[in-house]
Amino acid sequence: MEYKFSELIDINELQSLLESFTMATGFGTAILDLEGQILTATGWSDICAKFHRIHPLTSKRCTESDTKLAAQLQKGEKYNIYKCKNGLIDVAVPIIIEGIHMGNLFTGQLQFEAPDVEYFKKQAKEFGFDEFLYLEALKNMPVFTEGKIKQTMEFLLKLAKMIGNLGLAKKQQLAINEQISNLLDLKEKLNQELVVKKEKLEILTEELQKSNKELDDFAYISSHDLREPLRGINNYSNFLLEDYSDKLDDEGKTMLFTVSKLANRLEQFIDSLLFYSRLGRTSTEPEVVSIREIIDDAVNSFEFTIKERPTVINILGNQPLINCDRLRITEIYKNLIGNALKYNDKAERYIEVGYLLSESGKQILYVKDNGIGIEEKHFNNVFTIFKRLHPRDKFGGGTGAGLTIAKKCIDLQCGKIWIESRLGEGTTFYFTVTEERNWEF
Amino acid sequence: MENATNKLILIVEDSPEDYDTTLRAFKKVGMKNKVIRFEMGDECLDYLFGRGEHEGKKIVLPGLIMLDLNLPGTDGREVLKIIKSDLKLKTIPVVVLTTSNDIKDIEKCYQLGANSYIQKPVSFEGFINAITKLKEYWFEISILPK
Repeated sequence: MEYKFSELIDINELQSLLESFTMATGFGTAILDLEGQILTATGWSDICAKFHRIHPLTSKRCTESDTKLAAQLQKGEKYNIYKCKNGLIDVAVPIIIEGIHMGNLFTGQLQFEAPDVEYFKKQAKEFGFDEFLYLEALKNMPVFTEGKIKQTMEFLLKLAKMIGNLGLAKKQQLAINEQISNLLDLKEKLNQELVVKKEKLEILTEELQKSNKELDDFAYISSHDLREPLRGINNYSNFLLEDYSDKLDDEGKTMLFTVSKLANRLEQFIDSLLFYSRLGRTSTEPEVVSIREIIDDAVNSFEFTIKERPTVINILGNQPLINCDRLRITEIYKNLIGNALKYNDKAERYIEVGYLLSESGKQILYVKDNGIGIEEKHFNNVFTIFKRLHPRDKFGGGTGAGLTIAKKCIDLQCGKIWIESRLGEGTTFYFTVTEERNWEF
Repeated sequence: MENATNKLILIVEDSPEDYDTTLRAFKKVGMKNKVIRFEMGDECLDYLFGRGEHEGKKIVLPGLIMLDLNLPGTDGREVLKIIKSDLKLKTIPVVVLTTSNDIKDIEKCYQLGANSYIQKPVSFEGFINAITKLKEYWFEISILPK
């Protein structure tokens, strides 16, 4: 950042200092920047202040003289003594700030010896000055010996150096101030951005919560409304079968059975959807749950299936207590064990329900079977609602919502579920439900 | 114009009712084409590539494939992608026939190279209409590759 000379010096202080100097020594002074602008002026002779600087032509000579003097200083001279174009002696000392020549300290408007009155008379005539007053002013002008001027020069040189140093300090201070001000601006800007981001995030979160709730509500409400006409379709096809069975041939009956069967299937879909949407709507307070109990309950609920399709179910000992939602963990086990029972075409069916600790000490629960297995390309598909890997009526049918429901129960408890499987050999579903500390038997 | 009514039509459709409905509609509009049906995407691909149980058997490639999108296992989108990426099979026109009218499905199917996308009409009347147009377009107006 570049500063103007006038910004780097304290003009008022210097004016006051130089006024005292003038009073003490009789030397007039001035500080000008390189454009010729006068920043301070003290003890100017009347001949300059009231005549030379006033008349446009002589004033022009003043500026030319100042500029010429300054130009010589710019060439690197320590100081310059010069007879100005209006016939007076001027002295200039450069003011250097950080190596840059920024202004000049002038003294002068003086004479080394008694002035040449004739010369000034001529000048009065030339520019139409009142000769009497002009010569009075000339008389009042200080006359110094060259030795005296040299001494004064020493002082002025030191003063100029000091002004330069003060200017440098001020320049550095200004630079620091500017950096601080920039940093403060940046901080303010960042703060504002942060506030805006935070507001946006809050709005988004709110919208997301709202839309999630609407989605759940939508699924719930629409599932209810869809059920009513469906019951009608089912009932009336049954009425037809009951009341008109003597009038229908076998093909007609088959068609009506199909209507009824499809209506039932649709009802299953609606039930699954309803159940799925309800999972997000309801939750119970987490409690310390004995996983062993949950597994036993889940297995018992399949008593009938197990009797029909004998399956060895090995529940490993050492099951943990976990702080979680009881209903949801029950649902997870019901779906995983239910699938393990269903998707198995082996003569000797086997399910292992176990528990292990990961390297980082995380509790991992699993349900393992020796069933049909899942191809790796379908690992993600199995969690999509209503997505089945097999034709509708194979493996006991079903809507294809079980694993979706299990996964939602796990997601709702900040857990993870993943699959290990080999086609034809079996599948293991691993899952976690909570990151919280818990106890072991 | 060459009549293509003797071409084989391959139908990939998991719903027995929808398949029945399709056959019924064929009959109603007088289509006499031979039909082969698969319930699952992988079965259809096994047939087209002569793999699995079709290995070593003589495969008659269809003149037209009618493809459902939501299938058990490998779904219709994947089947479409595989057919249209195969140098030999990609010339067979594939008509996507599905309940979905999701804009993303439509876009995706055409991007994958579907030759036509038809939403399954809910009413049987609408279905008959669709099959009539389909027959006219693919078997009477269009010239299919040999």
